[in-house]
Amino acid sequence: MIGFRRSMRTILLAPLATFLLAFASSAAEPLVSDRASYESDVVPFLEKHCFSCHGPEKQKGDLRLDDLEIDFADTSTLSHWIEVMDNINLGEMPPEDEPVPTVDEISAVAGWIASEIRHAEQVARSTGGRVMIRRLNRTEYANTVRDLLHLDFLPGEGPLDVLPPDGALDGFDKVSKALLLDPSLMNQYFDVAEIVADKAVVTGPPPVPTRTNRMEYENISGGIEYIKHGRDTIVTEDGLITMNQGMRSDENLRHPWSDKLIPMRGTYRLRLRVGADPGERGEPLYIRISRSGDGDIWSGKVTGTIEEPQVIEVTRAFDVPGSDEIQVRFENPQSFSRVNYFYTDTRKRADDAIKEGRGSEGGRIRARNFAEGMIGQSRPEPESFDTSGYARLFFDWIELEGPIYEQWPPKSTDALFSKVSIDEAETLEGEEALNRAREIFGELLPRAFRRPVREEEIDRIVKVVRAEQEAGEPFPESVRAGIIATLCSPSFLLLFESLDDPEEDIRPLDDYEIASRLSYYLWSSMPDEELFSLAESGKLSDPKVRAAQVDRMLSDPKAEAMIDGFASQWLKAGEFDRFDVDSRLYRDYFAVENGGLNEAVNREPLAFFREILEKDLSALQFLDADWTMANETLARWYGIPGVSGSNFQRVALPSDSGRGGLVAMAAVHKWGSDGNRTKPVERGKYLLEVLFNDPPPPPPPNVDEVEPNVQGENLTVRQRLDKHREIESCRACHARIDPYGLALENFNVVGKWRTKQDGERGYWPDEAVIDPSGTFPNGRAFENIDEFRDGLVEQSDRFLRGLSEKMLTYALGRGIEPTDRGLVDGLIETMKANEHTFRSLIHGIVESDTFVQK
Amino acid sequence: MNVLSRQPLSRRTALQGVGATLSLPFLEAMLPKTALASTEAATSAIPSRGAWFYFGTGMNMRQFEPENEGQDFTFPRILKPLEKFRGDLTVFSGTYLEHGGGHHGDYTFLTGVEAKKGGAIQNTVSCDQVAAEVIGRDTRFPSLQLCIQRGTGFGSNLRTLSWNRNGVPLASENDPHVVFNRLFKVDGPEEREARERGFRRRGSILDVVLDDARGLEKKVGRNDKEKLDEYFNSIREVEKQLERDKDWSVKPKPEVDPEDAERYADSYSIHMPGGQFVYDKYARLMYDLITLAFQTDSTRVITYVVRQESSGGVFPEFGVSKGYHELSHHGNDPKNLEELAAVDTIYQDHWAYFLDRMKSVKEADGRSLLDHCLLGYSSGMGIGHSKNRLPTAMFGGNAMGVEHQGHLRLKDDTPLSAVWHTMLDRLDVPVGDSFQDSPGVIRDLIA
Repeated sequence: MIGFRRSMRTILLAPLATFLLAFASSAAEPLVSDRASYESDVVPFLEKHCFSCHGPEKQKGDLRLDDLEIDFADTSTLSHWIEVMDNINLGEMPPEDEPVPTVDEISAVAGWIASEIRHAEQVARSTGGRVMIRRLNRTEYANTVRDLLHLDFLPGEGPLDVLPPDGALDGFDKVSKALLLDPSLMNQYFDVAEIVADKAVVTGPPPVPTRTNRMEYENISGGIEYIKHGRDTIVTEDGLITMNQGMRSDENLRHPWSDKLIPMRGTYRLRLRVGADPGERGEPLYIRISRSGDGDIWSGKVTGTIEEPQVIEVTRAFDVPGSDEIQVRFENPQSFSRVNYFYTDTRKRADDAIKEGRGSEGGRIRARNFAEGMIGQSRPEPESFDTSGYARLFFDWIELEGPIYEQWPPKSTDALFSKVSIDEAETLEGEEALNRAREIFGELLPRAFRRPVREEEIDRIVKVVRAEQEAGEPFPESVRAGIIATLCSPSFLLLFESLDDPEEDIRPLDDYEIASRLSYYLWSSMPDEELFSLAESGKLSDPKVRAAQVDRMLSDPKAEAMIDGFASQWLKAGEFDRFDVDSRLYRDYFAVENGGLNEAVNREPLAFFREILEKDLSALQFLDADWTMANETLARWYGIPGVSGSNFQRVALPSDSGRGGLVAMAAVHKWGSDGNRTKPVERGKYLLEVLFNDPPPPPPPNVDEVEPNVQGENLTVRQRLDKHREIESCRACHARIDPYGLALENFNVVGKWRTKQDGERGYWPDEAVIDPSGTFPNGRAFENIDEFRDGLVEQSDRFLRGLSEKMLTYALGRGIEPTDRGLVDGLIETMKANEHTFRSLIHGIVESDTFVQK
Repeated sequence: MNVLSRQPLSRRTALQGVGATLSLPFLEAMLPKTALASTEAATSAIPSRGAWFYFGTGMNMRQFEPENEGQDFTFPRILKPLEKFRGDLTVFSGTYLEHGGGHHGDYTFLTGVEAKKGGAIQNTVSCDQVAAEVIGRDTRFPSLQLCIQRGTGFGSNLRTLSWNRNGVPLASENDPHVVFNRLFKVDGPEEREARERGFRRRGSILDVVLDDARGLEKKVGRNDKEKLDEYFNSIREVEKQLERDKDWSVKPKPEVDPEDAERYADSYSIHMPGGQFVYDKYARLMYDLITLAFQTDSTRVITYVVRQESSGGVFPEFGVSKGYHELSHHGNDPKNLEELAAVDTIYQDHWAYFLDRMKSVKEADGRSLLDHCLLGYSSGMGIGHSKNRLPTAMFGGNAMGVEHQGHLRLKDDTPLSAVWHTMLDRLDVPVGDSFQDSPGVIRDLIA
C-alpha cells in the first residue's frame, strides 16, 4: 500500500514538474503537442502495467519509467520512449504473467508516443515558418538555363545529365534543407556552366549540312535485294508487301558528308510510310523500328491500311555510334514454316548411333534423311501454301532528315549578340569589346539574377571578360567566360531573399522575389518577360494581379513542371518500378500486343492529374471517378473496349469494372507489390501517405514480412496477414493501415482484376478466394472496392488537408509548421468553395500572405 | 594490368622542363623503386591507404557468421570464396549500429550519430573524411567516393558514405569510365592548352563569384546563413582543389597499360539500356579501378557503396531469378533465402577477385599493396532489419602493424565504430581515445 502511494505521487508530480520547467525555459515550443492524452491515457497505463518492474523499487533492464521525462527533443529520453512503444507494440511488454492491456489501451499509448515523435521531428526541422534561401534543384537549373539562354540540349548532354540527382525532404526536391551544396557539386556547377557557355556561343558555319535521304522500298537493290525475291514478299509499283519478314534500309539512308547514317550527334527526323492488312486472322499488326546499337526508335501498332498507309514520324537525338541502317521488324507475322520434329528425332537417332559406335547405322539414317529432302529442321507451314488470307504489311518509303538545326547561328548566340553579328564579334578588341560585353551582360544579368542589378555587378563580370581579352582570347571566348561566371554566382544559383537584419521579423517580399516564387512554383524556372515587367511596375504584391498570373502561367506549356515536379513526387511516380514484375508469373503483362504497357501503367496517374488540372475538375476524383486516362493498350488491359490509339485519352469506366480513382490504378498496385505477390500493408501505407499525408509510424524492429505458405497450405495473403493481426499488440497499428490495403486485394500485382488469389506460384485452389471486405478505423464497414471508395469519399476533408499540406510544402520549399494551421484550414475552405479544383488550391496559396513573406 | 610508372617525381624537377618531361614516356631514374636503394627508405615512402565499403540491406547472416573462432575458423558459405586469404582478414561477430537497423543504417554507417530522424537529417563528419584530412593531403585526390549510382541520394537511400565537416554528403561517381579518365586520362596538347586556360579562367571567376557572395552575406537571415556558408565552403574547397590541380598539372598523371585504357574507354553504368549492363563486369571494372587508384597513389582514401540500401543488382548470369531487393524481402521462403545467400556469395566472389588484385601488386618493400592498405566492410543492418549481427570484416594492412585474428568474437553489441577506430589508428590518423561511440581500439588487432 505504501509503495503504491509513493509511486502515485511520483507520477503526478514528476511529469508536472518537467512540464512546468519546460514552459519556463521555452514558452514558444510546447514539448508535447498532446498533453491531454498523456494524462488521460499514458500515465494510467504506465502506472498500471509498467512501474512495478520499471519504477522506483525495481528497474528491470536498467529501465525506469516513472521519472521518464516527456522531452522528445532529448535523444536519450526519446530512445526510451521508442523502446516503450516498440515493446508494447510487439507484445513483449507487459510480460506474460502480468495483466494484458486492451487493444484500445495499447493503441492509445503507442499512438500518443508515435505522434509525439513526429511532432518532435517537425520541431527539429522547423525553420520557424520562414522560407529559407535555397539553391536551384537540378530540374530548375536546367529549365532556367533553357529559358535564360534559349537553349535546348540533346538528351545526355544537358545539365540534367551532368548534375547529380538532388536530395528530398518532406517528399519534395524543393525543400531547402534537402538541397545541400558540397564542393563536388560546386565543381560540377563549373563543369556544367562551361558546357552551357560553349553551347550558347557558337561561331562558324554549321558543321554538317542538313539533308533528307529517302529510300523507296520497291527500288531496293544490292545487299537487301533478296527481300524482293522471298515467297513472303510481293513487289508492287509503289512499294513492298511483306507477310513474314521485316524491312531493312541497308546503305541507302547514309549521309554523304561522312558516308555514315548519322554524320554527327544531333536531332534527326525519321519518317516511314507503312500500312497494314490484318488478313483473315483479324489481329492488329505491330512493328518495331530500330537501329542496332542505338535501341528502339519506335514500336507499336500499324494503324494505316494498304490503300491508305500512315506516316510514322519520329524526331529525336541520334548518336554517331551504331549501325548504318534502320530496321523495321514485323512483330507478329504468321508463320511460313514450322519445326520438323521428324527431322530432329531422326537426326538425334543418327547422332546417338554414331556416338555408340554404330557408325554405319548412323550414316544410313542421315543418308535417308538427305535423300528424302530433309536437310534442315524447318519445313514449310502447310497453311502458307495459300497466303491470300495472310496478314501483311505494306512498306512505301522511309526517309531520314538531319541533322536538324532550328536556325543558324543558334538562337542563343543570336540573342546574346543581338547588336552585332557573331562574325563581327570574333574580331572585336579593346574598349569596343568591353563596351559590347557591358551591353551583353547588362541585358543578361538582371534576367540571370532575376532582379535589377547594380552597375558594379555588371563590372564584375566584365572584369572576367577583360581578363580573357588580355590573355589574348577572342571576344566570343571571353563572353563564354563571362557566362560561366554568371552561372556560378550565388545570385544565380541561389533563390535568395535578403534580410537587412538577421533577426528581422517576417517581412513582405519585394516584387522581384514574388516573381521568382511564382515562376519556380508553377514552372520550375525563371520568371518570363511579363512577370519581370509586372515586378518592375510593382504590381505583384496585389493578390488580384497574382491571381491573373496564375491562370496565365497554368496555361503555358511550362506548367508541365507541375506534372513532372509536383504530381510525380506526390504520387511517388519515381517508385512505380521499384520492384520488377515477375515475368514468369505475369506473362500477359509482357505479351507482344502489350508492348509499352508498363510505361502506360506508370503514366496513368500523371495523365489523370493533368486532366484534372487542365480541365478544372475536382481533385476529389482521386478518391473516386467514373473515368480514367488510358491509351488503347492500358484500356485493353483493364478490359475496357472501344479505345484506340497510343495517345492517352479520357476513358469512361463501366460501373461494374471495379475501377475508379487512384486506388484502382495499376501503378499503385504495382507499387504495393513485390513483383511476385501483393503487399496489402504497403498499399495501405501508400494510400495513407499519398491521399491523407498521414503515413503510419514505422514498424517496430525485427518485424518480418508476411510468411509464404508452408508446404501443403493454401492461405491467401490476407489469411496469412490475419494470423499476424491475431496478436493483440499488432492489431493496434494494423487496424489503421490494413483495411486500406486489403480493400485493394481484388487487384493483383499488375493491376488486373481477380477474384481468386494469384501470384507466388502457378496454381491456386478455388477456395483461395479474395476477400476485400474490412472496416475503416472510424468503424464504417465495407464489403467491396466500391463501398471502400465511398468510405474514402466520406473522408474527403482529410484528403483535402493532406493535399493542401503537400502542395504548400512544394510551393514554399519548406515543411509544414504548426503556424501554418490557419492557412491550411483556409485552403481547404477555398477548395470546397471552388469545386475542389487544383486551380483554386494554387490560387489560395499564391494569394496568401505566407506566399509573399520572407 | 601493370602500372608502367608511379608518381613521386619531385615537383621542382618537373617544373624545370614541363614540356619535355610531359612528353617523354618517363624518367626511370625518378621512380622510387630505383631511386631509393635501401628497403627501409622504400618502406617509409610507401603510403598507408584506407577504404570503406557498404553492402546495403545486410546479408543472410545465418550463412555469414562463422561458428568457431580464431585463426583456423571454418569459413561459412558466404565467406567461403575468401578462404585463401586467411591471414589477411578478420571477420567480426558482435558489431552493432546504435542508430542503424532498418533502411537508414547508411546514414550512420561512418559517422556513428543518429543522422536521420524521420524526415530531419543532421549528420557529422565521416571517418573516411577524418582520415582524408590527414593522409589525403599529398595525393592528387584527397579521397574518392564511389557507388553503383551517382550523386548523394540525400533524403532517401544514400549513394555515398562520405560527409564533410559541415555534415554535407559528398557526391559519388558511378561510371568507371568517368573515374578512370579523371585519374589517368593524359591530356593531348589541345586539352593541355584548354586546361591552362581553364586555370586562369576559373581563378578570375572564383574571385568574381566570391565578391557576389560577400555582397549577399551582409543581408542574410540567421537561418539562411548556413546555406550561404555551404556556398562559401564549397567555393573555398574548389579554390583549394584548383591550387592542387595547378600543382598537379605539371606532374604527369600515372601511366597505365593501354589495355586498361581500352577497357575503360566507354561508359559503363547501371543506367544502360536493358540487358547491356552485366553486374559481373561492372564489379571487376570498379575493383580494378580501386586497385589502380591505390597502386598509382592517386588517392589514399576511398569509400564505395557496393550495394545500396533497399536495392541491388539483378544476376541472371548466375541463375538467380529475382532482383536483390525482391529477395531481401525473403519472408523466410527457403528458396529466397537460398538465393539471397547465393547473391551474397557472388558479392564475396567479386571481393575475392579484388583481394587477389590487391595482393598481386608488389610495393617497393616486396610486400603487396594489400599489406599497405586497410579495407573494411559492413552494412547498415544485419538480418531482418537488425541493428546487430552486422556482416563486418577487415582486410589487409599486414605491413601497417595489423595482426589479423581470423574470426574475432567481440563483446555483444560492440559499436561498429570500434572497427573504424582501429583502422584509423593503423592509418596513423590521430583521433585520440574518444572517437564516435567507439569503446576504443580493438587491441587484438594491433601487432
